[in-house]
Amino acid sequence: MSNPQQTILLIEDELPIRRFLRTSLIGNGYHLVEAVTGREGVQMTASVRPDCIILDLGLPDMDGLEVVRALRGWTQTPIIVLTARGQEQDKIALLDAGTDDYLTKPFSVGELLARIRAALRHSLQAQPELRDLPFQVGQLRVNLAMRQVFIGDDEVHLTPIEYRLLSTLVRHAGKVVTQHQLLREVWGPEYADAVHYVRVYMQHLRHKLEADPARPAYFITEPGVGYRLRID
Amino acid sequence: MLHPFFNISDLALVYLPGIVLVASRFGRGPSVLASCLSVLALNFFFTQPYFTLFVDNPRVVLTLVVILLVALVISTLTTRTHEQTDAAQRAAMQVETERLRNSLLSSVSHDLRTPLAGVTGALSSTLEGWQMLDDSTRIDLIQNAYDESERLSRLLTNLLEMTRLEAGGLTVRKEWQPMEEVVGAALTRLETRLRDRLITVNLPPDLPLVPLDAVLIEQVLLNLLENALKHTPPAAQISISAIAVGAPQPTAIQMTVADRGLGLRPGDEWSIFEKFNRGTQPSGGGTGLGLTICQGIVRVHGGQIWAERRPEGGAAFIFTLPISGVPPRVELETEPSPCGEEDLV
Repeated sequence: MSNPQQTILLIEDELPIRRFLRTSLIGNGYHLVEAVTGREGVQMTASVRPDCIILDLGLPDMDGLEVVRALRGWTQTPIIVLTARGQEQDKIALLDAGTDDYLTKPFSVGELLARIRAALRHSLQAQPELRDLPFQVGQLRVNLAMRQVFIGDDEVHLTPIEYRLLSTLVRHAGKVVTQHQLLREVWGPEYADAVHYVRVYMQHLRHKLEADPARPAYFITEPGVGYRLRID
Repeated sequence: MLHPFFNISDLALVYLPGIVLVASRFGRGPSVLASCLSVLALNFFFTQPYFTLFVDNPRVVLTLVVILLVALVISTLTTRTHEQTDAAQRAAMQVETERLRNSLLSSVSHDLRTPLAGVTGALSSTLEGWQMLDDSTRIDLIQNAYDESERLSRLLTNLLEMTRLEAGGLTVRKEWQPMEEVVGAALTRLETRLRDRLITVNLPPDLPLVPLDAVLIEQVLLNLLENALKHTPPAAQISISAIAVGAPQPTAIQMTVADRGLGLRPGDEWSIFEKFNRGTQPSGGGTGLGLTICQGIVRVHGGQIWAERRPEGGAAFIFTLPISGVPPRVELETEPSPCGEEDLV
């Protein structure tokens, strides 16, 4: 699925991690450039213009959030951060600052490649002619242009809010979407504190679209952060 | 008035227990203040002339001074005793912490070394014997290294969690949410390891929202499920169920994770929650911290956790989460319409 032309910038100071990612990413057909500090990473983003940035949060010279802010001032290149477990509030802050996704250490190459694919797919969707392509994963099929939702061959009827929730997740398919982002996009700014709405409606959506709502195959919860619609 | 029947020093005795109480509860400053105020009150109400601070009898002056001194001495002694008791308790706790730290260190270094040895061993044999090994053996060895490194990662997560629980550094962010979502998150995280297992989930559709920290309660479910995986044969069923407790308004939710494994030996039901206790059944090689962490997390939610031996065989782990406060209102859409009819941006 990866395109040999696509360049990934890896900002990471730990040699063992760089070494393992180098083998895996080059092996999967990506062109890889590496930076060891945050400052170098920001400079290389300007000179190399990568398609995707992988940023480790534990850099010696700059705080991860600073790097994200420095980049988001002028570029929309997708950023995936590598973070440690149990820092949900930091993850939310990073996502709010414009990070596209995160990956919790330790992670497998498969997970990283899936995140990269989702991020690249999303930046591709910024092009208007590709935005409304039908979405499909497993038995679930969503046609945003026709506003239709299918499980297998059966059309499923959703309420307006359920549909808005689903279409928001489809537009960000594969990427994590925070609860507040969903509230903003589906319910509007006046519901900013009503996080339980997202949870209750996600449950409705799962009961209509998942074979086993308690073991979701499509609508994955990222506890303490948000939700992710699986793409593969 | 009582004063014709009671002597001034009798009355003073009534004040002294009060001073002792103040000294033991609030320390030296307040108790000295209480002593002075008591003497002034005695002087004001119970010495002639009444309702003035003036005293005409030098004997009464002497009595008041002695009462003040006695009060001050009592307050000093009480405060000191109190401080000494505190210090003794702190010292005892330090000894206990030290003992725990030592047993933690020895347990941890053993538990971390075992999977680490697995990783090192598997990888070094792959590297050194690359030429001599066939593909399937190499894959086996690498798979072994991978599995062991995952186990190492789980051990570290538990250790970190334990440290945070003990240091009191655990922040609980409770939000109202459906239990189904937390159960789903835990099952998703264990997806690959649960793939070949028979899992039944039984959550009533009308289960109320529960105020909980999703990250922490997911950890509880993960630990319970991992235990069930470790201690039961691959074909044994694992079931997760929930019921609401209290009617008509539910006051708590009760979750059960039950398995059909070897079960618990009598007496293990309580001791397995102790730190580093792995029960008396053959262990799957953990730190013995998983259940202690579960207990810590459930307790900070105000709930309880316990284990039961299932009569038909197997073990059940049960925890409750109280539903306190007013559940948030959710205004549902009044007329569900087909999705196509809504105008979307």
